[in-house]
Amino acid sequence: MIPRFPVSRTPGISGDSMEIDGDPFHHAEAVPKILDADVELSRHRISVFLSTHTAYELLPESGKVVALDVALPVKQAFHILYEQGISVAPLWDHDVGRFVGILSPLDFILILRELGNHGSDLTEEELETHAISAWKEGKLQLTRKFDGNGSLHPRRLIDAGPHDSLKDVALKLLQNKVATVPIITHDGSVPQLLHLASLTGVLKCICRHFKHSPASLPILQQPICSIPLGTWVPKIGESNGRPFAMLRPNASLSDALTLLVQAEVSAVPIVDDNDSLLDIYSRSDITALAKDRAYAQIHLNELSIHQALQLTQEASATYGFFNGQRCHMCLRSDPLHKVMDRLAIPGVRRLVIVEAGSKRVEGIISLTDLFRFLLG
Amino acid sequence: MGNVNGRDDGGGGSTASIGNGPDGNSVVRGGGDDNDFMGHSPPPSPRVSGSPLMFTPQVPVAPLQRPDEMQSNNSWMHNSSGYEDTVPEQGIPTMITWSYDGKEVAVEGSWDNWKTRKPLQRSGKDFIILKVLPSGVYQYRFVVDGQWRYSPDVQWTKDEAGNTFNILDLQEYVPEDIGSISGFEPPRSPDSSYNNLQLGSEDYAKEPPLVPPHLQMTLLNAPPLHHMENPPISSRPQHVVINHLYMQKGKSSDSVVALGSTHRFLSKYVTVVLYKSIHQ
Repeated sequence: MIPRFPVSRTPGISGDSMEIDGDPFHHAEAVPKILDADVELSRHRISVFLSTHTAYELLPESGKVVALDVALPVKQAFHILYEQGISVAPLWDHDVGRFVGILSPLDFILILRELGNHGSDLTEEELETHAISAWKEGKLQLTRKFDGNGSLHPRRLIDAGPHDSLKDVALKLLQNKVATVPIITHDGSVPQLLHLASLTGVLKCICRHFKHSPASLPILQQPICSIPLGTWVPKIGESNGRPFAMLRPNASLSDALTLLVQAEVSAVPIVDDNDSLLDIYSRSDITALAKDRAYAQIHLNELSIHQALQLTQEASATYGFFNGQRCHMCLRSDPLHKVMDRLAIPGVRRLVIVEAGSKRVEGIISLTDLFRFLLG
Repeated sequence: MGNVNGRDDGGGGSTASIGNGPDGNSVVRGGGDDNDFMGHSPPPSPRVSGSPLMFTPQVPVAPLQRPDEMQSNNSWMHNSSGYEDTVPEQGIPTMITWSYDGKEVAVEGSWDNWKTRKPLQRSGKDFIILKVLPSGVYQYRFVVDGQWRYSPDVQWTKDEAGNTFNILDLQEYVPEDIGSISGFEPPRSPDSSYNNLQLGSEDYAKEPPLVPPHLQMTLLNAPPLHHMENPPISSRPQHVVINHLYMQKGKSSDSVVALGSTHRFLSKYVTVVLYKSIHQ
């Protein structure tokens, strides 16, 4: 049996599945077949766990959340997120007395592209007065251009309550294709923000629960190359879908942002001429451009990814943030539990699968891929 | 993990397969020798009362530093890829107690994938064992005089085959006892006239009253430890700072103010910071 690797990331990329030859990796090692029964049993147990535990478990014992008033100018918001070292914030609207949306890195990417777009109405001076609420209304027009079928109604805030099951929270995150769902309680007279939930938190709960009982999830021991999970580089002669998105360091930042928006991916690996992994540029790196108002002084076409990444490193140094490792990697032979452990680290949303030694990029597994697989 | 008792029988094939009772003569003898019992740990405390719930499943003690023990717990750490980035976890001490009948009691659990069986030390009418494990959820069961048993005092679950296990949910922190918090009655406000008169010039001539020093212990001033860590981890706040509103003028701009407050939700604490614009 030949394992099939469906391109399971986002609809933006071709939905065709890629067939991988029985001897794909130049070694004669046997790829163990994954048993359907094991998959079903593991999925069932995870589903039971997620249904019987609530979002309250995601809350740390003492946590901090930052929210922004929707009347704040976009430029201030950009700087606040940068200073606080966060990449998303829920938006509070005083007039209606509730949270109405989320400001995310995608918003900034779209704004930057608008600034660079000479035909647009948005200028840098206006950013000082352009409120987040006005931006969100204008954004509807922009996004309709991309996918052509955006609805006319502004998106309602996707939130969850502290007593909702973890399964509901995970499904909300997957089905609405958002990275963060705020946990809000409506017990008192005013909605109270408790936590920003993401797949990372849910995965951490799963890992914590099953880590010390490995027999309960049989698929955990399987190497990831045997599991239909993630997006893989198509081998020569077998490419069925679009090429796996990668960029060289001298590519322009504007190319990277275009990929991040139009291909609907959240990160792009940066590789050298041999396709070896150098770094990764993700949507949340955009907030580093707030350093020294870099976004005002540069034209996106003229800034290379390499320079943009340097800004990110300088930003971490300035604020003393411990950034940890930027690229998290794994091998195709690594077992699933190891991949899950790594993806449960806060801040890690994807792992790049590389070849041992050469670090050639072979694929990517994201949190979304993992959850789509685990939840069936 | 811990001291593997030399007399400990691995249980042969019986521990591996669910559904077979343990072999009669493979039961380990528990209790007896003090010097065998977890040699590094402090001697078990003398029984002072007969209540089986005297030792709660998680005892708030400082973590014991046992570096040789930390790494060996997890059967997950078998890798040779060289991309190791996981940190060995701090072990948390916890007591497992069997307070029912029995002559010889042992425990086996998922902490080592059911490989070994450890005898419990008799202490009065109870049998106890001290384990040091990383935070997480474990399944375990007792072997009492050759029979698999579970303790109904503690959380338990049944698997699809009908086997019953006890569950140990080991947290990194000891959850607060809500009963002791919600019973708190705030003291009455001191007698005074709580009118709202405007301050006059003689008031401004005086020094302003000092802010109570405990209110300085707000979490809001703690810098974020990890970049992009969502949510940032904070230590448990002091109860005095809860439900107070803090304000800070924006660093980057005069027209932005930050409002922060720490609230309790059930047994957890949430600090929310809202950035608002002030209209000039």
